[in-house]
Amino acid sequence: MSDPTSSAQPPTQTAQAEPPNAFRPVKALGLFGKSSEINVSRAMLLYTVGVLTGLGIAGYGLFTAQNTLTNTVPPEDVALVNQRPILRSDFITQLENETGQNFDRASKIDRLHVLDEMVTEELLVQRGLELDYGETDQDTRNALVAVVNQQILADVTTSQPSDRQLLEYYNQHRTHYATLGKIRACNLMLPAATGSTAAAVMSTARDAVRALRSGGALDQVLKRFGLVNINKCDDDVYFAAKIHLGDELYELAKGMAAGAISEPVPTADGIHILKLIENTPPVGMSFDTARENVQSDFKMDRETRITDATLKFLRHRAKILIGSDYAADYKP
Amino acid sequence: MLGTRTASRLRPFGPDYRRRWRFIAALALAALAIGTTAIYAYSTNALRTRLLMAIPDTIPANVTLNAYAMSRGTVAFAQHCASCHGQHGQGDVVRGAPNLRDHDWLYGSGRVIEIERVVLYGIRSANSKGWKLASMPAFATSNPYKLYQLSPLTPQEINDVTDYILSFQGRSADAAAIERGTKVYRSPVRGLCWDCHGERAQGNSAIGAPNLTDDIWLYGDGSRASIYNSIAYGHAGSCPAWISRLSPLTIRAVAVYVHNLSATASATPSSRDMHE
Repeated sequence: MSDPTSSAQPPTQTAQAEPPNAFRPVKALGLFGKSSEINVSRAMLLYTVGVLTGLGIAGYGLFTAQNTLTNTVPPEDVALVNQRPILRSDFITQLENETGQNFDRASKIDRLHVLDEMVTEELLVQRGLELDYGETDQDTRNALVAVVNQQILADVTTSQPSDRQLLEYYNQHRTHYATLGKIRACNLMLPAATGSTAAAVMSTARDAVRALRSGGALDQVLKRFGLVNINKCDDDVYFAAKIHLGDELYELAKGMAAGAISEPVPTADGIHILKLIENTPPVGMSFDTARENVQSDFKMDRETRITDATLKFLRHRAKILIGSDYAADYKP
Repeated sequence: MLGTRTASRLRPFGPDYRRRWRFIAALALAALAIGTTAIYAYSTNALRTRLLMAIPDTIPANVTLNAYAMSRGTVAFAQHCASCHGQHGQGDVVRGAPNLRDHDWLYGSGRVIEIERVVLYGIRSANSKGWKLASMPAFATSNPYKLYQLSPLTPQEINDVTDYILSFQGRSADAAAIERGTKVYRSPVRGLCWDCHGERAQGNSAIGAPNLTDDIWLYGDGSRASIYNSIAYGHAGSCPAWISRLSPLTIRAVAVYVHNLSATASATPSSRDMHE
């Protein structure tokens, strides 16, 4: 067995054979030596260029980012008050509102006057925020709620559902889309006359019904039997007829055909007789007819879902403590 | 070795000579690219600054600013506004999105600053600086208007007001209905239509009430049925406030673009013409 050390090369040979990655002494090759060779001048130049480029980009980003403290008023603003901008657009509008003339015709004095007003307003607003009026003033709270709601719903407001989505929604809620329906009925009332018995009043009402059914003119029947035409035979959409006639008479009217005269209906204020002139029940609307309503409902539905989801998220991340007297019953 | 290198450097087309010029050329190219970018950025920034600092109504007359605004506004309009107003700003009478290519302005008179306000703060957008003074009541509902008490109208009254409106284009011959409709229109307690649309029904651009005497329709095609539906069911179209979602530059560019859409339109066609 031979000694492993015996195969090692002599020290003199090692010094002569240079390993491939060994550092070679820098030679003054000038700035443009072979690219595979180390060149201090070239390296320093590229290093300097790299550093300067990096600093330039970083500096640009640093000094132009939003909310960066700056002593320069951005071009879209007419002033900065404690770094809070006053938009030129607001300035122009306020000036035109105050002076009643176009901005380009306003004098410099007017412009400066309005600018000063806006700066003053901004100072007061900022003071108000310092004093936490956003938390305590009801008007401010209302405005904040409205603005945040708008922000939440902005995507829904701007996005347009496709026809396929609307049609699907329409098919799911088809019963919601019907015409309003129309009822035109004369609501005739025989007041409960003092001194007459209920039976006598009812008998008179029946006579009036017979007279109407036999084709008697309405005005003459009214006069002859002392009836009052409460609604002057106006027409109503179905829901309004329900309000105006009351539930009982409305249900009665719905089932009557045009030209029909109802039986006397006793109520608290007297006895009513309905003379139905027109009855057009609500009918389902086609998708094309109901499209606008479908779209409105579709959006409202999405708004409700997005608002609910946002509130759920806000509740989830908030720490809400409820007083002990309500804690057990409180449910969001 | 060194002697050879020195010698080769001295030769005009030796390897070191070529390397040197390649490196110089690369550096020069890089410097040129950086310089060009810097000049472009500077000029663009200068243009951006000029556009934002200009009095909005003067921009369309300035060829450079107008062209710059149009280039940006076209893209922004397609991204953010076309979903309602249509790719070419032609509007949508189903959605109640106004045609922006005519000379009929629902709010204001089409000045760039007025359009910019709409884009910034919206219409019925819940932003307190937006337009939101009024909306069209739904007269066939139990509570027609949210802002104050208004009585519902009967179907006959709605029909009569419809006749009154149709009479402006000579499309109703029922004189009795027109007369009744006029009374409802001008009534201080029933329709109260005049309060927004004006005594002569010519609208009020200060509150976004459309002119009812022309043949331009925000909703529907101007047919009896669509007018009836508008009165019966009401309308409250909205436009979002873009102030927190688009940059001031983009908003101004969109305003200029929309202004130009109208300014370049030859004449105001009627909505019904556009449907035919």
